[in-house]
Amino acid sequence: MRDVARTQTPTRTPFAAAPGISLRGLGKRFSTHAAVQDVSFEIPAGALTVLLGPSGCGKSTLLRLIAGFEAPTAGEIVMAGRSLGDLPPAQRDIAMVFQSYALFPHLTVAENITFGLSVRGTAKAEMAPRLARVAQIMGLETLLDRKPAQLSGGQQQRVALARAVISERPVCLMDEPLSNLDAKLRAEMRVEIRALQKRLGLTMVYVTHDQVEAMTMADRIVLMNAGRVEQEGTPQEIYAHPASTFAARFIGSPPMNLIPADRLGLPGGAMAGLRPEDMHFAAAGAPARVKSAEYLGADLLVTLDVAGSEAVLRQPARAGLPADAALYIGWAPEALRLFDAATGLALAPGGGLSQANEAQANEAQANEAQANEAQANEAQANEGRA
Amino acid sequence: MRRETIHAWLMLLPALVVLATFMHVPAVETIIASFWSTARGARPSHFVGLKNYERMIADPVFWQAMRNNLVYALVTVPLSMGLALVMALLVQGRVAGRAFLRMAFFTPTVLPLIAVANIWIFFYTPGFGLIDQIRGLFGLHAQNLLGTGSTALYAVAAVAVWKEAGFFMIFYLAALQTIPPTLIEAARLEGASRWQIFRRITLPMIMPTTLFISVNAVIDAVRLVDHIFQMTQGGPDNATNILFFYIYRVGFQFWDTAYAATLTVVMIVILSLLALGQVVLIDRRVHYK
Ligand SMILES: Nc1ncnc2c1ncn2[C@@H]1O[C@H](COP(=O)(O)OP(=O)(O)OP(=O)(O)O)[C@@H](O)[C@H]1O
Ligand SMILES: [Mg+2]
Repeated sequence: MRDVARTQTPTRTPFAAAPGISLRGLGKRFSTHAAVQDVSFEIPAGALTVLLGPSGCGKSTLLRLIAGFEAPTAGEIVMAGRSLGDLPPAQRDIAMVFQSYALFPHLTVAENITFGLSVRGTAKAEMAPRLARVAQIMGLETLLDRKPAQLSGGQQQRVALARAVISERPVCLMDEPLSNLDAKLRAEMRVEIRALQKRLGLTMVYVTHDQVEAMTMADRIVLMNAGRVEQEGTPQEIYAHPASTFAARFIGSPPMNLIPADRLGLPGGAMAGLRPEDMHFAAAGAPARVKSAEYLGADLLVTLDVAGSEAVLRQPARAGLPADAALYIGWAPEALRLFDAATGLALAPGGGLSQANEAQANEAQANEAQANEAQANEAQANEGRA
Repeated sequence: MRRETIHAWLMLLPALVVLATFMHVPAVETIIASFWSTARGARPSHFVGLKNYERMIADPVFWQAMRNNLVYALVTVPLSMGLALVMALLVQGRVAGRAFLRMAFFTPTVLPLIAVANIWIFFYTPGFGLIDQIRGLFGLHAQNLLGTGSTALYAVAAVAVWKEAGFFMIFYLAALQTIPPTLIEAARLEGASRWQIFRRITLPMIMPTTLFISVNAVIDAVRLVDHIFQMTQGGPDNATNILFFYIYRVGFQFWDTAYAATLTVVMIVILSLLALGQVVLIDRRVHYK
């Protein structure tokens, strides 16, 4: 698999054209509480969509709904223009890689990979070349006779991946597939999975709670919080325009600084959001005090006290720390984000609700006038950007 | 190193003493006794070589007991194990009244075999026993299952199956709980049918338990005779006389202790060979993590 990125086999892959998936008003209630609530978004065909969110926010539940292991209590899932209803998992044309890999411990690697083909009655003559091809892609040729217990974590991961790939199903779901690997292997596998997904043109839904994984791999990120979609968009959109303080704090490492606007000398009532790299030391501006500094090699993370709230500033390490402990910070005005102090939702530069929150604002039954104003603001904002 | 060895032996000593006193010494004594005659009145016990074994080979009741025991084992072992697995599969999932079912299946295990025998004597009573009452509903005539040579052995085997299945079910239940649900989900996603999942995942994964249970079931097929005392006394005409029961008779009713020792040696040899065979044979097909 190491050479997936390089061996761009020119031949067409045997995969059917990957379909997209739409989730419409999807909900799942367990007896006591709702794990997933009113989730609607599009999973584009042939792209990698990451479901991102903190532990317990319903990512796995959502994935299991798509796979058909759980039945939704509300809403529907539409794939290739067809509502999946209560279609059993096997008939959804979906492959899945489980967090624990779910390898059959009593079967060899080869038997594990071909399990699906074999239960579906694929002829031996067809199975062998498919196994050989997949084993070669994944670099498993020498391990085919081993049992899973005789493999390292990374190798087990590849077997699980191979089992998904050999099925030649166009949609692949992955539930935190890398969480059991060490940091270095995780970084390698990220690249490999992404390369594989692109090479085979898979529609992939990838669950993680690691925002770095999400940022590096995703075509689209769906950020979830407490069973709801907090924000969706490309990694760039979400990073640059977090829809809420939750999104602002969840994405980015270190996350976006949130400081009451009045402490930065801005009109009060709102929360100001600034990415660490968008702040810099200045001769004038908001007064701040250096509390500590963390050296990362290329960068220096400086923890500041800005009029009582903590903030982190990132700057090239070679710039060094200012000699004076009491100083001022400045920021690029276009990088400043404002959030409603009460709801945590992003405010457009004009003061209204921003584009990403439009849906939520409507949902919150904001009165029409306000919504119109928001739309007007959004239009203005869009014009301004264009 | 020497100190550690001494320590190890010291720690093993209590168990060794108990095992030796109550198992190894009697076993060896039994083997020795099988080469001697039974002391009778004025004639003390004397060495007879293989005489007891020759007598055994010529003894038709011994051979009948062996045949009976084989049939008894062939009925009770697979049936009790199969039933145990079926019951375990039934009550492992989300069934309504699961706790009640589990308890119901397990109850026969808690009862002493003597009590179980009493219950079944009532089932089997010709004319007004439960079985004949049910047969009566369908207009079938009364039948003496325990008193008929051709059915008696199966009738006592049924009691053993009923008694054992619940016990084995507990082991199967425990084994089934250790199979991660994601394995089943992964197989389902691949399109495996319920039967394929059972055949290709569940069954191989509970193989160690199956081995364990089968050893126990075989031993019990030789050992469980309490109910025979109560229900048939080995009759009619030795139809339910199995090896262990025969040994008891020879030893404690005919007081022919030497011959009883000879039969016991045969039983121990057979049991040991069976256990060994099972471990070696099934071991190859068993997956241990
Ligand atoms: N079978 C179930 N019965 C009841 N509650 C459940 C069940 N499965 C999940 N939940 C609950 O639903 C919520 C979402 O769970 P889910 O497993 O989807 O979270 P997650 O986002 O995948 O978390 P993690 O990152 O820890 O895997 C949790 O509060 C969980 O306790
Ligand atoms: Mg999860």
